[in-house]
Amino acid sequence: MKNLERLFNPKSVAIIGASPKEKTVGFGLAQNILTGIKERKIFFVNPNQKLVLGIETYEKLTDIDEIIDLAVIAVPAPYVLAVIDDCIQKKVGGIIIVSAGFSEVGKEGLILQEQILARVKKFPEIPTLGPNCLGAVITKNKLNASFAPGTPEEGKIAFLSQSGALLDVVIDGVEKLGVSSAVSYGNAADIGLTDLVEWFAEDEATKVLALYVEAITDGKKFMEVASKVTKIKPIVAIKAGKFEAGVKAVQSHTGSMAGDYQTYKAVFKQVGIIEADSIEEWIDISKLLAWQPSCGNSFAIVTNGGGCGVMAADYCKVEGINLAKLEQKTIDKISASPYMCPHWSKSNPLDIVGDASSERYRVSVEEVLNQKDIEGLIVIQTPQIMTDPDENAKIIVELKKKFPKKPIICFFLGGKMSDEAIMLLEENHIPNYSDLKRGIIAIKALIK
Amino acid sequence: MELVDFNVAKKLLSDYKINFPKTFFVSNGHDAETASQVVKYPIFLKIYGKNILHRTEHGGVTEIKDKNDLLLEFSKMMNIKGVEGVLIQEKVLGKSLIVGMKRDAQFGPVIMVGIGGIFTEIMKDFVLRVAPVSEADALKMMSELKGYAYLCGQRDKKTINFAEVAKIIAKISDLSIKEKQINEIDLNPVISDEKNALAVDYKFLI
Repeated sequence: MKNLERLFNPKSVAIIGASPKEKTVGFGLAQNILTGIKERKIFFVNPNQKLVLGIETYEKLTDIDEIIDLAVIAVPAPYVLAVIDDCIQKKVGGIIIVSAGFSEVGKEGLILQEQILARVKKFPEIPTLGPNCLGAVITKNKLNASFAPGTPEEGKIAFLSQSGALLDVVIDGVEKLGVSSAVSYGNAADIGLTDLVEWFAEDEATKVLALYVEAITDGKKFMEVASKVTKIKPIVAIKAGKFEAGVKAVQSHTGSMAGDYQTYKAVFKQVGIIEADSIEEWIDISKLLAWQPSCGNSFAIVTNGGGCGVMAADYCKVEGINLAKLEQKTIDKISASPYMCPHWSKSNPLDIVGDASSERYRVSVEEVLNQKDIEGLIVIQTPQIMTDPDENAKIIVELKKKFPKKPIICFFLGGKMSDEAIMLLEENHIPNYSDLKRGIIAIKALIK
Repeated sequence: MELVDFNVAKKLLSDYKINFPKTFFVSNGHDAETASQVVKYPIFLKIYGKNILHRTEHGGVTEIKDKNDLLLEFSKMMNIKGVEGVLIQEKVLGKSLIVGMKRDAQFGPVIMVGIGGIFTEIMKDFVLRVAPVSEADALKMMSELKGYAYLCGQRDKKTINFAEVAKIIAKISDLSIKEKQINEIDLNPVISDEKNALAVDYKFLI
């Protein structure tokens, strides 16, 4: 396994190509790296600028007297090789090449990239990320060595993506999600997806690995690593490039059916990777796995809307999620509550009727969670005139603390009436989904 | 990619102990008559040519009930463009599956099992698994087919011999790992009844 400790937890960082010009990569990198100013020494290298964000620059990396753990390179492609040589001379602990203009632009770029690769391969103690990548964010280390549009909150998901732009989407789009790390590996000249999966499998801050995959270039090794990792941490992957451009003329039946994507699908399934179908699903599943414990296949649904309960039960059926039978004891206890109306459903889904007060939610949620063979709970709330979303959310948060091993997934449906309630739920890592089907697809991944 | 020679393909199956029905490659009438005496009627005549991948599209498969029709059908087939010879094969009864392999540049041999016959490509009911595939893996693959109930004989009480088909799948996996020159394999159909499973037609592409 490649040792990425100095790369991802550096005591000192140099940004080569840091820039004072706003809306440039060099500026973004400088601004982001300064969020970790208390954690490490930061140096900016730029021969053409004296000051970047108020910090004096160095003309060359080798002018810096101190040890440099991480060197981030953001100079134009033709100058990268010379900077790499400086990095080698300086014995840096890791390199991130943000610069673009390599294999992704054609033959000349590929030649440059191969020159770089040949150089860094001679120094296995200097792991190199990129080129053509967004960089790396490691929240627990307060490291933002990227030009992402912000710094994500600390969390349990490691996003490992060939595409940097998709990481921007995650970082900008899902504020409260929380990530342990967001790493884009770009053209993967040295460090590849398999290396990152191996590394983050052992990272204590990471509970879920979320991968964006275009192509895997070390198939056998990837399968070997991934099948070990999925036994300890879930991997959720989204695959791009599903359809081949050309169709070969002479093929067997097997050849025509076992296309590249079909093969990837088989590989994912074989090694235990959960495949997501869209960005939304990718995040939905990752969020649920990060926030709630996995459980056995036995769920209950509590709802104040009969129709939504039926729909949820339908989706559960389609996804193979089992709904438990309510024990008589559970039914009796719920019925005994002075808050419960006599015509509640007395079966699973538990329809506690449209006029359900928060107390009705409390007694039904609590008693359902008390029933031993019910391992997970779906709570649906439709916004009716007598509904109190904030109070309902408070009760759910409270009961979640009482039953930490049983996952709770909420569907506070509708709009603005539940905004604050949803915020409270999600701050407490109880995921809320705005659509039944979306959430229930995610729940499937939670089942052991 | 091109088709490996019929006799080489047949030898590969024998080497890896994959069972197939009695089949003879003949290119003249005299040999055809000799072969038909060894194979019991009804028999199948199938055209063979290195560039013929889908013989039914060329009208190249005929069932013959008795020897009166043999020579006429044989000579008709020999006149089809690209035909190098004719296969004379005993008729096998049972349900059709397809077992195959495609060598993937990244993951190595990918093994396939699917529901065979005319629906193979229309229904696209198949399961893939990267080699090595054990017999236990192969059984699991078959159980994942949409048409699994059909193979179990849910409607017609006629089941296939899953263990024998699983053996073929595992052997194709083994063969694919060892014979690196082979890029794609089609055993199409593999016909199985309660007792046996036979690779009735086979294609190896190099």
